[in-house]
Amino acid sequence: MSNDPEVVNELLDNAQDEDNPQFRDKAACALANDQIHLTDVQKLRLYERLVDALGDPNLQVRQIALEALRMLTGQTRSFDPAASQEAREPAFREWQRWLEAYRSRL
Amino acid sequence: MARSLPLAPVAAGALVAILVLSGAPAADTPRVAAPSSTLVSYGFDDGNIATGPDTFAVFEKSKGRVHLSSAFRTSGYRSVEIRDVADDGAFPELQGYFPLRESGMLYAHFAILVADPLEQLNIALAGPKWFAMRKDGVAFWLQTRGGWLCQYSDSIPKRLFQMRPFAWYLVDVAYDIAAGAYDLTIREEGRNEPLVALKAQPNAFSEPGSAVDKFSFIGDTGHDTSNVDYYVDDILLTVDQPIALAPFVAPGRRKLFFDAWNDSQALLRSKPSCLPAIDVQDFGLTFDAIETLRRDGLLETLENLIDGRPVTIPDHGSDGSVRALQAVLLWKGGCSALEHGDAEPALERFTKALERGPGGAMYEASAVLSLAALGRWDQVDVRLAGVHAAWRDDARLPLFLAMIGLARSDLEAAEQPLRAHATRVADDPRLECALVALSTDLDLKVIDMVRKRFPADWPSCLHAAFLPEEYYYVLLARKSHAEAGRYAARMAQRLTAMNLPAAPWVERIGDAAFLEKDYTRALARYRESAGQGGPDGALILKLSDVHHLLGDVQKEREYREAIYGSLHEAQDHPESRTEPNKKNDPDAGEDADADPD
Repeated sequence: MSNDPEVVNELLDNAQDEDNPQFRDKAACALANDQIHLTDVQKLRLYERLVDALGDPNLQVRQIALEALRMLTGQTRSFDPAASQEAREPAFREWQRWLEAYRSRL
Repeated sequence: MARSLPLAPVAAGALVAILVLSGAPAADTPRVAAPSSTLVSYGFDDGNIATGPDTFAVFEKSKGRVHLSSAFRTSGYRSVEIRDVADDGAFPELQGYFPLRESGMLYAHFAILVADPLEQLNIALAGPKWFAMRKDGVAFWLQTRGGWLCQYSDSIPKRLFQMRPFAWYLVDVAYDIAAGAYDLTIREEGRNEPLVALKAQPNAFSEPGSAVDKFSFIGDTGHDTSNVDYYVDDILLTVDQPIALAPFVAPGRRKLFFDAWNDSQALLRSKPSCLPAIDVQDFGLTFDAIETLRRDGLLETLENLIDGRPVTIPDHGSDGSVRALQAVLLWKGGCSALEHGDAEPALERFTKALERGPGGAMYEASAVLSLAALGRWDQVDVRLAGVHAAWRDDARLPLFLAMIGLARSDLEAAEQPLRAHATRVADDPRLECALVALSTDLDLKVIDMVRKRFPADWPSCLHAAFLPEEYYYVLLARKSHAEAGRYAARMAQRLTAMNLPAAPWVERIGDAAFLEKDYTRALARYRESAGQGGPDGALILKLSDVHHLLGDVQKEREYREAIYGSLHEAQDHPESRTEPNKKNDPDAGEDADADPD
């Protein structure tokens, strides 16, 4: 549990770039479960990175990003990480719209 | 609001299935249900402050407090003060209950005043999934954040206005349940123009159809950082379509624990039939599976299927979704076949449903019921163990056991064979393994242990282990309450003689006495059972009910408040409050009833 931006950034990097899929998964779990003291700005940064990861070419990165978003927001916005890029696009844009709404409220 | 009332132990109590599954009042207690638009109305000025399952609960663990206060109020002379203390390991809560609303409009009104808006408070309307971030979880959520009052809408904390300390704010919410959206109006006392007048706000997690049945006022949401001190007054919840509300039969509740016993008889038949599903988890559907169904656009199909509406399973959708729907469809077909007495094809469909939906306890339970209908008792006993373990805390287990028990004999004719077997269980010392098995919570580990210790006899051991409960519930179903009580007493004696825990059977003696309306004897047995082990929520409620029926207002209240807390002035705060046990049992100190059971 940490609100150190460096820790959060490191976890985000691990969730997206770590070679070992288990470590990616662990990092995403830590992001979803343990970052309870984030400030609003830090939380926005977290959401930005997770929504960005929904566009990752790696299926598992998209899956764990969606799972983290679901745990943090209670929503999936009908995003299917296993669908084709074309099929994912509407839900991805929906997440981006949500992110913009979130950002505008800070 | 992160916590839920300890309903799990209540639901786990024997016979509560009957209560949960039924809705009508007791046959011998005529009650007129008057349609009303008002679900909840608390001004905290009158005597209408009894906690209970149909009113509200107060949680004051650790240092937090929920008190009646005359320091501030918007009307009358009192409000409720909620005071949290940071780093005390808990938070105080005023949590209220009202009949489940799954459609229509719900109008909520309340007033709040906060001493320091920088401290966090949370106010929510939620549904049967309590305060989860999902459909039927939190629907409406207000929170203070850094001095701002925010609404949590569409998973976004949205600032509304900066709160002033010691100012009353009047909040009005008009929640359209089907749309999953609400209008929000907030006025500051003394000002004509509203501070907030928002329309069609998505609910907390943008979930259309998110039902509601409870409200909550707390400090922070579990971070234990809040020192908030705030006041709540004039809570009023109304609906657009009046609904029938049974009158209160005792403080805080519209039904006593056993009120609905007679209502269950329609569900108990001589031929087994499917039990009602109460959750999608009955069908082995995980959260991920539900999400996949939602993504595939098949969630409505599933709901229609479960509700028995005609559907066609589409060929689109993921493999998992299609298999899940097929499993439910097979189950429905099996239930229909079982209903018509075609147990063999029913069993076949339940078996196929299990193949397509592994982990679906409802499929397994239905298969066991069809085996019972076929009279394949060896298979029933083995598979019954699995259902018993899976549904150990499920409110439907007693009903399920009664159905199995009824199937073992002809309800209208001969129960003699069943009686003979069950009697043998109570008397035959050779069936030690059965007594050991049934004296504890029967789960797969115990079954494994029995299998290893009694490799030759374990099937008959399981049979003997299940038979007593089945027999007992059959006797109750036949209204043979006295006989049920005698049988329970013999079981309790056998277990005691073997130095095994007998508390559940002592409680069953009490249940039978209660149903005979012998409340004094019921009380004695309930107290004895409570004295043998930590009483669960169900037993505490029964104790409260019995005291109510015996006219002991004080003890009724003490037991009820052991679960639901109490609302009182600060100066009346008790030293400590925990569930009754040997140390602080409201009945402690009184001589045990010399009952000749």
